[in-house]
Amino acid sequence: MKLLSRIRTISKNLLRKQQVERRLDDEVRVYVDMLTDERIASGMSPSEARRIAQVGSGGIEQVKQSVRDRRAGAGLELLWQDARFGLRQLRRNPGFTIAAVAALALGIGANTAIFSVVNAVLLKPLTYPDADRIVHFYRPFPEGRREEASVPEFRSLQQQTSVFAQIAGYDASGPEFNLTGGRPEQVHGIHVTASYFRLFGALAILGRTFTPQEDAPNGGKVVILSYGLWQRKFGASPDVIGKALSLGNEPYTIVGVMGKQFVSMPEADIWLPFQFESVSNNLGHFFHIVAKLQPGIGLSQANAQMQLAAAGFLHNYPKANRAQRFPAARASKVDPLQALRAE
Amino acid sequence: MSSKQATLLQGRLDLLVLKALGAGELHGLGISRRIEQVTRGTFLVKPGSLFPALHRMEEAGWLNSFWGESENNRRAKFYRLTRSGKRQLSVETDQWTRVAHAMTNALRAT
Repeated sequence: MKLLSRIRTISKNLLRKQQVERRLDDEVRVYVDMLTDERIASGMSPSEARRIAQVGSGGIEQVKQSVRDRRAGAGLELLWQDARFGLRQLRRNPGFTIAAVAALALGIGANTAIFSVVNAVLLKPLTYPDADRIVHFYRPFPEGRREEASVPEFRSLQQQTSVFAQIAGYDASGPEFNLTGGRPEQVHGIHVTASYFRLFGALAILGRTFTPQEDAPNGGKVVILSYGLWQRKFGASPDVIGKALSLGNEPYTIVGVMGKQFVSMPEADIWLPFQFESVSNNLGHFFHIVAKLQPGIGLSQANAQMQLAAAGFLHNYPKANRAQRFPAARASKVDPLQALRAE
Repeated sequence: MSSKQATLLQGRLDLLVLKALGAGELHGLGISRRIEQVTRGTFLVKPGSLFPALHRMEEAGWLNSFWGESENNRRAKFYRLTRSGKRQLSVETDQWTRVAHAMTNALRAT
């Protein structure tokens, strides 16, 4: 209420300035008139009385100005006067104005240009084939997006074959492994579903990528090497396939080596099959999902389809609605993968 | 008279104006005269400080104003206390009384 009345006062002071000014003028004048009346009553001549009254009040204009300075909104008015003064000065000195504007324009322009170059070179587009069709999954929440997904959600997306051609899961945080046997080294690995490499159009230069059998629970201890690790650890030996890689003292069979140009997101030295229970009804969110849109399907179509699918999903998993605060109106969505990288 | 005039402490003008209006509505000169009278001429309030204070206090919601006839049939702007002005008067009176007591005691201490 107090704030409201203050705003009202400020807007009255600024907008109905003439009226406010006239009232102030009347008020101060009446004061001087009344002071004059007092002097005349005590026997002074009218002109002398008036002169003394005016001097005694300290000048009508000065009184008015001191009221104006204290008035609410005085700061705003001063700012406006400064702005107008600035504009007048600029108009008066065209040479200075041109120089200042040119300096600003060059500065802003140069920054924009440099940023554009940085953006294009450092944040260069993803190198995967059909990268513009690769999207990643997220769930929007008022406090921000969450990118983790659950197995039932993975399955639900898998069924949307009208919009998604392929879908793959991976764990974004990826474990560190102690490479044992020979010189110890810590390597970074991520778990991926068998579909992962196909989705990214990544080819093995030796051996092969994971089979669906290897990706199933108890599918065995197999591993795929990055080009870098293959070079570093095995001296680019062509006969590593079938050999064992010792991770934390457990032997893993090397089934493939990826090409030099394949860099996964996040980067990794080794890839392991995810081997999650694909029929699980566990709603825990523990991995990330990427998908490749069907040719000709746009982001909005995919998201519209996911909105539809959300209703079915909630029907099958009523718990998700309660436990995950996952109302159908807030269905999960997909976003270009490039956007994830820019973050 | 001017020799015993005191400089008005910052912030005390508000209290004097509130007090002057406590007895009823007054116009600007009336407030000046009332303060002069109740302080026995110790404080002479000049319009250069009175009017800014009145406008500020009106904006703060302690006073409101209206135009009326003065005793000499001049159209003058009268001020009166609002409810929040009355509250302010009692708050400031309490404060001032405490300060005055404290100062008196401090100066009396040996």
